[in-house]
Amino acid sequence: MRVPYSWIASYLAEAPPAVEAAQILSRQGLLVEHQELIGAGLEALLAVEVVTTRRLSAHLQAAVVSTGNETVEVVSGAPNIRAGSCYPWAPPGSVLPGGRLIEEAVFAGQVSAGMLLSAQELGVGEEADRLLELPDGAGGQPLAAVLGLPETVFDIDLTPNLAVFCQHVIGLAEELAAGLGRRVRLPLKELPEGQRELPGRVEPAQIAPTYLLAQLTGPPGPASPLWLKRRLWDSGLRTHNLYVDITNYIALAWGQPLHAFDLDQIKGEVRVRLAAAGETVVTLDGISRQLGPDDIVIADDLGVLNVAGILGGLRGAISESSSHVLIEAAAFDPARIRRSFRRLGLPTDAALRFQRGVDRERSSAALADALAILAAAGAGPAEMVSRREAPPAPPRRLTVRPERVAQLLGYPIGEAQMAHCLSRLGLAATAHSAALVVEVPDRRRDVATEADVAEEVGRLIGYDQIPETPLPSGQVGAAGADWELVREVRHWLLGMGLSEHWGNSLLAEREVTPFGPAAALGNPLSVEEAWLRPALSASLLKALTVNLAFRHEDLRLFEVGRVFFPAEDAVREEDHLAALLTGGWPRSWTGIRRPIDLFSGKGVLGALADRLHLPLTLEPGSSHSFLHPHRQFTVRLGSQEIGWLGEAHPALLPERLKQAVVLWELALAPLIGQSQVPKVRLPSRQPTVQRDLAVVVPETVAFAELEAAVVAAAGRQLGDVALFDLYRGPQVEAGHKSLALRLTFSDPERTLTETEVDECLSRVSQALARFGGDLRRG
Amino acid sequence: MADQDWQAYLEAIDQADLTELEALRVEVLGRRGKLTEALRALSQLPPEARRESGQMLNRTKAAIEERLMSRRQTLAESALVQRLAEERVDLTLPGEPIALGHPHPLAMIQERLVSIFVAMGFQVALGPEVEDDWHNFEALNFPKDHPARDMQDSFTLASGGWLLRTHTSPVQIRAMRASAPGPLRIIAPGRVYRRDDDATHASAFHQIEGLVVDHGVSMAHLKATLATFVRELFGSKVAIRFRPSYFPFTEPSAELDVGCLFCGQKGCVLCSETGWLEVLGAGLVHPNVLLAGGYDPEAVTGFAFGLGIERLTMLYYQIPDVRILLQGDLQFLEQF
Repeated sequence: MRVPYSWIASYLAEAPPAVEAAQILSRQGLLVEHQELIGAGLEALLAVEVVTTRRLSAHLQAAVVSTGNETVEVVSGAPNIRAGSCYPWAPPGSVLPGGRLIEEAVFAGQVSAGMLLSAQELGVGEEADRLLELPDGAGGQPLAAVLGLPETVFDIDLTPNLAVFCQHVIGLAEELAAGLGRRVRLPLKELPEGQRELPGRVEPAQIAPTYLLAQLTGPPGPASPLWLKRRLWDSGLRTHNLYVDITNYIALAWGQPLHAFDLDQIKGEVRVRLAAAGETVVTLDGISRQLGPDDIVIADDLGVLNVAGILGGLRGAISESSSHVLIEAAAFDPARIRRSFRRLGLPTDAALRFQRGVDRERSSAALADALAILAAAGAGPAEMVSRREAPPAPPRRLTVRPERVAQLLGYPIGEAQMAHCLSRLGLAATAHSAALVVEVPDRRRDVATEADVAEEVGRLIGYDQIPETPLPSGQVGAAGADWELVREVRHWLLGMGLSEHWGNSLLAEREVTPFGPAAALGNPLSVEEAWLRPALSASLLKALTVNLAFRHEDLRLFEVGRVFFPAEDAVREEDHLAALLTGGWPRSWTGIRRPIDLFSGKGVLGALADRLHLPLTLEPGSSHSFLHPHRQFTVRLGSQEIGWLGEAHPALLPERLKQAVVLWELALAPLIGQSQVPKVRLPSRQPTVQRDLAVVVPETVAFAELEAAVVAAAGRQLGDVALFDLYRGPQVEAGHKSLALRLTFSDPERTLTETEVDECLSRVSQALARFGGDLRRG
Repeated sequence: MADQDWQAYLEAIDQADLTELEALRVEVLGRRGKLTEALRALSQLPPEARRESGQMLNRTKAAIEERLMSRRQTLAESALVQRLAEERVDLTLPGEPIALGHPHPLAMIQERLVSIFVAMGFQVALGPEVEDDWHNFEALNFPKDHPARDMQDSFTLASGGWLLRTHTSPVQIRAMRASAPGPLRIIAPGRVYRRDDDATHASAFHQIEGLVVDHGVSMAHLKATLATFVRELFGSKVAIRFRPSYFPFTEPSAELDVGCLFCGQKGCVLCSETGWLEVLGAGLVHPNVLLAGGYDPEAVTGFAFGLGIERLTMLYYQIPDVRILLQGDLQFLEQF
């Protein structure tokens, strides 16, 4: 909320400097986010009175103006330049806000001594097409004094609870006064006489507990006084004419929305009622609105004038020619206003104020203030045509325990000091035995419990005064086994060269469907984020697309995150771990790039299982349609199926991508607590013997079969068997492959003899011969 | 042989290369070497002359052996120097690339926050992201007509009346119901969702929620806990400001600001010229929330706090656009 500080200060007998006021308000929870100083550096500018004018061309006039001590001639193109009126004048050599230097200039052959200014040129308002009109008699005075500049404008961030009673200048002034331990001075005036109350004006009665209507006659389209315009400009509003401006001004000052009607367009009596089904109104924005029996309307004999408390209608709206005017101040049923503005999609300032509920004790004071300002500006006198006022609600009484409030705050505050704090906020508190009875006025609907009272007391003491008391120690913190597992997983995968992805859980339908049933949002913002992912792989593939768009084809990503499966009338959630590998490992100038294939994925997952000491196995084959039908595995922990690994099916990938994309994905929960403590053996001190052998076998023979046969045949002295080369090519018969194995032999007790190793090897050779293998020893 | 002849050998050794050195050794000290022969010939001499010549020859032999060894060492050293010089390489060539992954900035900040609170005696609690209205709003004292309950703000699921949690606060309720009436000290990191149709927001983002419930917990405890956390995170010199605020589920409520870390509170773009950065919201647990959690608000009190991980991450790394965080763009990730 933007508000000029001088306006707040005007309700206090003695106001502190703006900086101090901002601190007090912020400390009390009304955070002054910005303080903007406007109209600074205008010392050289004067208010001048136009003596005579002379037309130079269709658009330009030369004006002789009096600066107080002398007269000078100024050229202006403004339409509203008149002899006898006062305007701002920048003499040659002066500088405008924004840095524009004013110099003597020649227009249509006439030398202009400086320049007459609009509000916009002065940086105080948006009016740009006309000169800023200053009060009569201001000529010769320093402009800053005439305009009350410089001004500090506060931008205040109001929380929803404070907005109820602080979203107007008087509320802010009351908060500032409370902080200072003072009282505000409000312009409290009486409403005029002259009512001829109409029976059944509000029907049903509860839709508008307060309905005040004043009628007045003034000049057509009167301009607002300068001070009022300035307050509205500083608050970020545009000005129109006095009748419209006053409604905005009072809403800002008192929080009470007003509405002004052009009486000449109204036929018969103004009534407040519910709309009939199918009734319509063309609102101020020119749109025809369909209304229903839930909408409160203001109507006359011809039909609906206004959607009450939300938006005025085109008929009955104030125009430049309006001079017979009705001013309305009301309190409408907040619940109905809320429903109506939401249904109509019209969260107007008035609607938002009425839905919170206006301060019923001040509706008439707000209207009286408006009528007084109108009268002073030449519109009036006014008479009341409706004076329906809700009886003031009796203050609510709240019983609080001072020691409980002190305990909640952790601040030693006694009953008397507490009562004092509360009374400064307008919450009268009296002691009754061990308790305080707090009288809460209507406008403080947010104060309803002991805890609310504690906040009020805390706000006024200042949170900075509350001490820092450490929590008692003795609690042992723990991240938990699941968190620790994720930490470990992240640690090792990062170390293996995989980068961490956090993908959006909301994806497009086309992105989730390959991975099976998924849950859809009922109210997505876009089709791109309309489904909950059933697999992290869906997010990883999306990241692949993003990176391919930037020509990054080497990608090694993993993600730990939540996935969602539709279940019977609900959604089942699981935390998963997944990885995507494609392209190659980092290319070096020392050698060639190692491309990523299915076995890179197998290697990464195997290494992870090894580091975490998890009994993971990869079982060839699974039945996932999103994977290459012949390049996929089932991942098991012991015998439990916990995930899969494979090459992404080409149908899921951009057509131009020619490289394999390896994916794996596991459920995390089964892994928690499954790390095995390794069985430690002392290292053997006996020498090991290595022998290489190559075997050529038909393609149909699986490595695992060969390996099993080697292990079985070699006996217990075979320490390790490792595949170190796989070759297909000219030297190998078609349909065959050559596998090179390195066998490591050792005996924990003694040194093996050549003969023993040779015996082992010949058993291995015999075993491999069964595969039709052609054997070569290395 | 005369003394000066032996002297000539010593000088020849000093000039010899490795091959010549070996030839000289054989010529003088070999089995048929001159000195070996001379020593052998001593037995022919009369005793007095034998002793005199013997001493002289032994001194000479020692001198030559010493000189040979020293020359050999000199040659070895210069050969090493020579070899090392030949091993000169282009030291400016890049190192062998090691494939190391890049951690996600959100993960790093989240981990840092969790670590600090775990060290302060908190336990990590996690909860579902698909929630019901009761846990997400009602139990947290959101009035029926609170704007946050509007369709505009929360995503609902197509079936079953579920919604995606709009904050991590429902974990408060779940943790309380699991622990009441016992004490509680938890933090709940997690993903949340808002239906914010705004380019500066992401529909999915992350929060950390904290909750303490115990006998006699006060605003003073809240201040100490959060101030300790903030000093641990930003350093002990950081300026801290607590000011009143509003959340439906806390009363009294507070917001914690830290003095702008970028401008030393002089005012800059990052702190919107205010000198302060909003870091977290907090407050005493509202009695209605304690009730919903299964506690007697007369018997225990509590405090809760919540903060946005994206905001801290963006401040810490000065990331200007929140939407880059969940895209998985390697050009972005590779900087961490």
